[in-house]
Amino acid sequence: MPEDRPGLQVFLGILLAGQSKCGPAATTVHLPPGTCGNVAELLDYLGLSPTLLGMIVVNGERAGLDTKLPESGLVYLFPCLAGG
Amino acid sequence: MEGFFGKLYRIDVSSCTFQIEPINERIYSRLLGGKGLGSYLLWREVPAGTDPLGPENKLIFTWGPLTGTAAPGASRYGVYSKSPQTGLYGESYSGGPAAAAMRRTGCDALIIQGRAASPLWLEISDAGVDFHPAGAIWGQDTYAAAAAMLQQVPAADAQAVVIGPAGENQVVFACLENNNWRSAGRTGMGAVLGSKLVKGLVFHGQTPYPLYDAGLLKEVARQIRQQSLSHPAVNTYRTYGTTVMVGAMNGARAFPASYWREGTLENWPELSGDTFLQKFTVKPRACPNCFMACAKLAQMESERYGQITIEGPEYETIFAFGGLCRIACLEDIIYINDLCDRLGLDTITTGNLVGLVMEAVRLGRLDYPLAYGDTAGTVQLLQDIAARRDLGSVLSRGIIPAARELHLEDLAVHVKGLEPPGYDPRVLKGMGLAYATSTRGACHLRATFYKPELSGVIDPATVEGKAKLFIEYENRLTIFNTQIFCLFFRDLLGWPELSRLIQAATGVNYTREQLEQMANDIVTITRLFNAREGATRELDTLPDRLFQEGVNNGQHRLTREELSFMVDEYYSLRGWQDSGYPREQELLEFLGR
Repeated sequence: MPEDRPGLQVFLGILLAGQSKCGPAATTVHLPPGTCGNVAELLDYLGLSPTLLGMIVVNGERAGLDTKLPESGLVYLFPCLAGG
Repeated sequence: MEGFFGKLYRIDVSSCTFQIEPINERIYSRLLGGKGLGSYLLWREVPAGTDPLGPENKLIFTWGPLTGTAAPGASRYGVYSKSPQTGLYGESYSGGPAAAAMRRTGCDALIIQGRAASPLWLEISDAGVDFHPAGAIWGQDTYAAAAAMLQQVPAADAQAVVIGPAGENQVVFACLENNNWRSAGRTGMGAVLGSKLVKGLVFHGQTPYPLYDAGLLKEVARQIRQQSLSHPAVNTYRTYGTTVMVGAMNGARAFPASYWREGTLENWPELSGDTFLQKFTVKPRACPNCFMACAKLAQMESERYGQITIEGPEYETIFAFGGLCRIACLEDIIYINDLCDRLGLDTITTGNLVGLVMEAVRLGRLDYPLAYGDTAGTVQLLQDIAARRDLGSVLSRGIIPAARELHLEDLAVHVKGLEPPGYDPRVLKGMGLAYATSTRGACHLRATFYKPELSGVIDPATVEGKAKLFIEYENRLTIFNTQIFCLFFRDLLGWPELSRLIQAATGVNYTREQLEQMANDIVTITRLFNAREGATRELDTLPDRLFQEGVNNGQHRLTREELSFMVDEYYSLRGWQDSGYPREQELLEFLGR
């Protein structure tokens, strides 16, 4: 759920959290405003290789590595897709 | 050609007899096994106008030259018939240990024909076919029936494929089930078996597999396994299975919700893969010789439903009941999934039909006590469908006759009588092409084209160049289905790997171009089957609603012109005429010989 405090709420999920610097328990990470300028910087901050990702959504819009991050809102990082 | 036994079992349940028939080598060399062989046999065996639920329809099972070997992902069987759901080409696939047991019977295909005088189950082995009375298990759910049949067969490696009450009652979207939770779900293959008064099949045998080069197979399998160890897609399948798609599809706003009115469900995190892993005890499970372990064995302890063990739910089941019917609770969906598996109902079609009823009730066009999100009402309707009672009886005949009878034709979402899976074609336009042109109706598996559209290979909003890329995927996955490989290996088996694996099995070193031509032939045979049944280009479209109504507040739309553009390009690249139906004389002569 979105937090009241300013910044970005980044949803990693169990798989990506386990592969990130944040450790397996942190499936959601809060970033104070201005921590990362764009998605690539965010992945670097989290220690995630872009090859691990299947899709990125920033405030409801699909995003790429060069997408600028807003000061606040929701970021979803989805792992490589595994459809059925 | 190596890799094949060169024969099939023909089982006539009317006379309780069987015979072994040879299969000409020219069939294998041109079409291989699995879908190639199955489509050929269906074309040859089921003439135009055959009643899908009549004794003259055939139910054909095939597997492939790598089934049960060390090749990874080769634990699937295919089943083909004239579909009672669409009246056209029907096919479905299922995984698990059953496929290897089928192949150990020592044949490459199985044809079931006729109609038994009283309920039967069949024991099929390398020693022949035994016909067992099924009166005592007729009416049982799939779990109980399979267990009862297997109890009577002493072979430790025996595997059962069964129908539930829905198949017995010839619900046109009844499926076949194996290993409790594995379903050959689509196009009503369970209804065809039920129409023959056959409750199920048990397979066992000890026949060694013919294989051209075991050393080459082992080496290729080792390389694939090595490359796959850290592959992101493998990790995702192993961790989440297909449940990961709930989040991704909502993120892409292509998650069909509220019976195709919306592209997201506002409380989708309740249905997500992470919620699934957090709420239940989940263990990965694999088919034989698979390192992916995409299946998720879930244990649910519920105050409402008690203890349920199930493999699943898969994404498609979550979308169908969670999205379309707005049942935003995984406990409820697990219960519904278990019920569908026991009754032998295809969850994609069933969820679509329940959603259609809910939408009609919302609009005041149907007087029936079922609102969006009503789990108890959904459960009752599923039981009524399987038993062919009340409204369930109307729905059990399939979406085209049901919508006609209920005056809901303008609401009903389907292609050729088959309802779509969970990828909105107004967002993922290539999926629109997939749904429209698939010979079995709205199908996501002929190319799994959501994958390139979601992962950035091609812009989902564009229509330019889409048919070409679509055919590349469709061709490769058609060759997958000649073996029959699990489609989840699509990121691991490119043309070179496919070619080497087929060579290891058969001894024939097919080039990519030869395999693409083979795929084109197989797809064309399925089109020819439909053409012979009277299908025309007009069927290669989407429901009016999906053109008229945008999704995501109108942000995403697919126009008729855009679809026509893609379809025209698709026909052209396939070498078909403007009518969309090929008249390939050489192929017709091959089929007629």
